[in-house]
Amino acid sequence: MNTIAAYTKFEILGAIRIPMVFVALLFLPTVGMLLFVVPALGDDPTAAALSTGSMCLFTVLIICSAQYGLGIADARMKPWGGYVRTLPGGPLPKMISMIAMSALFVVLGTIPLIAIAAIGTKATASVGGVLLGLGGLVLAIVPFSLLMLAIGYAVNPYLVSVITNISPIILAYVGGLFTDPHSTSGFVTHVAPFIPTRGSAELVWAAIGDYSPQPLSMVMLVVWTVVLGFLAYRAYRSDEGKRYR
Amino acid sequence: MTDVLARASGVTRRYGDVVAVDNLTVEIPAGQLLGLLGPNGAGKSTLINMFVGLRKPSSGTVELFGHDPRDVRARRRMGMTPQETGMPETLRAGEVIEFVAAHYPDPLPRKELLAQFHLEDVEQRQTGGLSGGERRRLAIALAFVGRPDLVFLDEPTTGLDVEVRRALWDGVKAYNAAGGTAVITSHYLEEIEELAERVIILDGGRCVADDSVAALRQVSGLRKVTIRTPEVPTLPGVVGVEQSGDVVSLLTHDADQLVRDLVASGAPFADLEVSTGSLEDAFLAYTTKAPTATPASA
Repeated sequence: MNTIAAYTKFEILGAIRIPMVFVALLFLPTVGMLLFVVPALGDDPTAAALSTGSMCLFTVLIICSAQYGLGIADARMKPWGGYVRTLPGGPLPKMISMIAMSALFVVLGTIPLIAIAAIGTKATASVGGVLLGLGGLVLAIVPFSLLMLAIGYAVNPYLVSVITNISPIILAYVGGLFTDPHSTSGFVTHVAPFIPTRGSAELVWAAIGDYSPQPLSMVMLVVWTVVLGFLAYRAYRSDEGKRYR
Repeated sequence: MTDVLARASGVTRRYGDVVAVDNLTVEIPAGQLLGLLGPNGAGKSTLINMFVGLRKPSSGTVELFGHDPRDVRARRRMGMTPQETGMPETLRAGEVIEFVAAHYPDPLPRKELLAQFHLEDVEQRQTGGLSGGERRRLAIALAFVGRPDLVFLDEPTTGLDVEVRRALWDGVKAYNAAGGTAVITSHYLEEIEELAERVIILDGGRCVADDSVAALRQVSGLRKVTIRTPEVPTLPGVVGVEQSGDVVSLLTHDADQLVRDLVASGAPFADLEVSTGSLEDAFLAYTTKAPTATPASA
């Protein structure tokens, strides 16, 4: 418990002393809200609410990619990260503290988006729906963080920054976060259920509005979580820090 | 028989085609101050990294307190210095110590640790703003936070001035006197000579010597004849000359004969002194292929 508290404090101190990071994290979803959701869907209460949910989930993806993908790659590059691995803590305290931090970031990060939706659109959702939606977003941290952990540990640290910059946009796009959740045609609609982002998105949509999750997406969500968990664990075990050839 | 705290048995580590550590067997008994010497690239850091669980051996086994070093249980009684570059810059020195201390069941009280390493003044400063010496001291302090039974000190005093270095040496000696075991690598042979009881010399990933400091001095087979003379005399049997001002040191395998020759040559000299070669001579004898410095036995 002591160790987990120490890691959490460590993460928070490291994060709050560089506040510009938060601006960078929230930039894309905010632009998405202002340029697409507000002008195009602002007048449709249901569509605006679901799209806001999509943008919030996009934020979760970006937070996870920064925190786990980049964060892990950074720790692998720095001698300090290697040193921490020699301490008798094991991976658990770090993971738990990082997940706690993610939950905090997600809640804080979605506030501006929900505010934009409330002020700039006719989006409607019950208070219970919004809270449930936040729960769905926090739950989405699990598959996203596992994915980014696997990338952070397995990929050459220099490449990780590229991958973590691009992958949230691609995963959000093919997962159908930028399209109408109810759409029944088009490439994305057919691919989306097989993408790790889709299952989480459907849960969030179901929480905040009129949407019923597809069984296929739910099954794939479980499959992805198990697979990504395995990959992340294996990548962690075989990681030895920076490698040269 | 003394307890063996850590053991590497037939360990080899490759990086691609490069063999960094080559079939090495090392035991670290309790209470020993073990010096690890070797030229750059000899495999010192790789060996230490395997002992602390940062790297896996390509073959062979490494044990730390009876477990695989990658197992958390193995590392509870072990301490290590981080490299002082790349400490979390935005965190204060005190916060870094607190973070590390949280890993151990019975850490040293922070005030005690700070006092021991003369860090009281920097407790509230961010590590990014510390001087090189302060950061180095903090890094060494971190190895001792958890009251370890075994510490790995990789180049502990590189870049420190003499006074601070002396103070740290005293700290290591006190730790050892209280029963602590330490493995030290250093660029300063002087440091190893001062601290270590046993020295392992690595070269090309192999152990080329493993003995007490005294025995290694002997085994180099070299004697140093130091005299004060205005001119370096030309004498047979001299394998090396060091000169500073009018003090000349002649390295030879046979000091007796050299002194006879010196006297017979009629060259003026004063303050004759004969000493056994330093660890540095032994080190050079083992790690260079110069014909004049072949080890007497291996």
